[in-house]
Amino acid sequence: MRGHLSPAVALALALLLAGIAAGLAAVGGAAVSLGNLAAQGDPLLLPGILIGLWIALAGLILWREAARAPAREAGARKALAVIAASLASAALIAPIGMFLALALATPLVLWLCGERTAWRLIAVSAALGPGLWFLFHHVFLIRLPSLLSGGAI
Amino acid sequence: MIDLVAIAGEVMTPATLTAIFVGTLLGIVIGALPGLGSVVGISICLPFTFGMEPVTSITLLLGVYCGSVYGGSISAILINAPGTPQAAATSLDGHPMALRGEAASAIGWATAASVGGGLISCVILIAAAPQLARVAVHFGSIEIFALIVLALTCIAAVSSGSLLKGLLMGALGLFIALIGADPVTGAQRFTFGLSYLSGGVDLIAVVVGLFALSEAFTRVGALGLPRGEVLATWLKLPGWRAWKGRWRVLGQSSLIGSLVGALPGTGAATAAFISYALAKQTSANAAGFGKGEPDGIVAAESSNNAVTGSAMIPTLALGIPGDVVTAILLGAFVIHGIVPGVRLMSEHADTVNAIFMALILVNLAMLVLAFPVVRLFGRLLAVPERYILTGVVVLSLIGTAAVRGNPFDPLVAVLFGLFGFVLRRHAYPLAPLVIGLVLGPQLEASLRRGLLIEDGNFLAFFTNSWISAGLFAAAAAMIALPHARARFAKTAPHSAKESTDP
Repeated sequence: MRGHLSPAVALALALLLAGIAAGLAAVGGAAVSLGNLAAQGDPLLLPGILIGLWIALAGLILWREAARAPAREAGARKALAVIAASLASAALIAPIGMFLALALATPLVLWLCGERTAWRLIAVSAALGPGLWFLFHHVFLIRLPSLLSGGAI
Repeated sequence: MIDLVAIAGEVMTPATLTAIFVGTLLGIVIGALPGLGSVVGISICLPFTFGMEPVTSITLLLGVYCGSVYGGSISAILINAPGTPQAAATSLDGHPMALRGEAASAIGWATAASVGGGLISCVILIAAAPQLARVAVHFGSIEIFALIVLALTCIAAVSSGSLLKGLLMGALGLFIALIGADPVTGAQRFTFGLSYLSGGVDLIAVVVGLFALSEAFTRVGALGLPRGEVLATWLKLPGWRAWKGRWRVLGQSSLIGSLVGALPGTGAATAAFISYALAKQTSANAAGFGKGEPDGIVAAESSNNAVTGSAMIPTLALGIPGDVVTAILLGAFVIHGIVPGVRLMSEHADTVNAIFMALILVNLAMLVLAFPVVRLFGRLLAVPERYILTGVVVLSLIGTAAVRGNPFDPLVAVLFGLFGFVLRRHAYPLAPLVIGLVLGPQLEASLRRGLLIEDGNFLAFFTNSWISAGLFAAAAAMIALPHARARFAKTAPHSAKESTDP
């Protein structure tokens, strides 16, 4: 595994790079818009201190993680598949509404979690996805993002 | 003078009483199911409390919190799988008792001790919080700034994982809290032209993502592990005579739990193990510990439930959360427009007093609601974990979308879920992140007010107030002590060896 970037090092590196990017955005002026110039105080004072701290700490962690042996990762593939399904569902809420997003995502997540019996997959998906949506949207009247402007679905 | 009638009027409403009932029941169920815990339970419930009155909302969350800490003991005793980390010490004696055929008694001891510990900590909370708040109300901007710095360093230092990672998470939480409009100049910070970010990152979406979703994602990887056999489906409360000689264990463990709970970042699991160890040394029945001794259950359960009340002391008196749960509770205050801080108790005395009363009622409700949950436990455990995890994902998406009706909030929640999942796998503690997120705006306000008062001289923060100087010194000690201890531990055996050499 020589020359391979371990996930722990990659995460520390990503955190460091994110900190540097935030720092560059702050220094370059891209991170702040003009506010009330008459008001006292620098809007980037505390963010600046925190970014400095962020970069320093991420750098130290990177240095420490790089010195350690990489840890074995287990069970990540299934989790990543569920994360991808959840992410896709969350991204679909704005264009197609909550009902359809849940109706699509719930059976997928359930299947990824290991449900293989067809009737159970359908029944539990209907109860957990559209069922919970119906409960909150139509029974508790908590307005959830909808596809139709009337809010029926 | 406390107006008890007014407080009762606020708590004894149908909505708040329902919140006590539903919250406690949900909490016990969530706690009893291995894998879910107090934080996941509260994170899922938080969005749905948005439309409630502040007292009703906090009461529901407190019910979930207290109920889940107790609920963990049910699975710890019956299937030797603690539902929550707090209940790990309970299984040491609870499960052997259950194996002996005394499962109903073991749950009875756990229930009585949990309620006893919870009520004792309520009394301590009611006595201590106003005194602390009376002192803290004299704190100025500089002292508040120093107090928040101390709280964050404490939590970073005692969180699981390394100190550096804890500090980085605290700094990240504070940074995320500052995204959006600057409160003084109105300038947009780190929004990069995205209108979604102009109001800041939604606290609920972050909490749900970091705790509920990331926990679900993490558990997906461990699906399919077998669960134990349920050893009983009823509970039997101990009689007065059975308590003989055990009152001292209850009192001592509740006091330890209350003390540990008031310290930032320690938590109920630590309290339970400290109390268990002390009871093992001092109990008249010490020989039976680990083999099914009720004293062990009483020590662990009274202590971990005593944490629930005392953890509220710094939260309500200083506006400083000691752990993730109290940080989320403070988040609930923020959602309802109540600014947490040293003036919380003086400016919202009615709300805080109503919360005290609600906490007592929650503990009493546990005593009643434990019976049906234990009876249903076998059936609850038969629900496959994949259904529960799918339910957590769906409820998280619905919950985050429900708060503001903004379809992008669920996306932010899932992104933070992914972030939390990655951080967990590499032992980055999440508690400092969420506490930083809750305290960020207050930290910035106190820093900028302090600088304004001191003409921009930051050194004055250390020199002009002995309270802030002491708090900063304590924060520095929190960072330095683990290093000093590690260095001492490395050199001590070496020097000991040297000294014994001829």
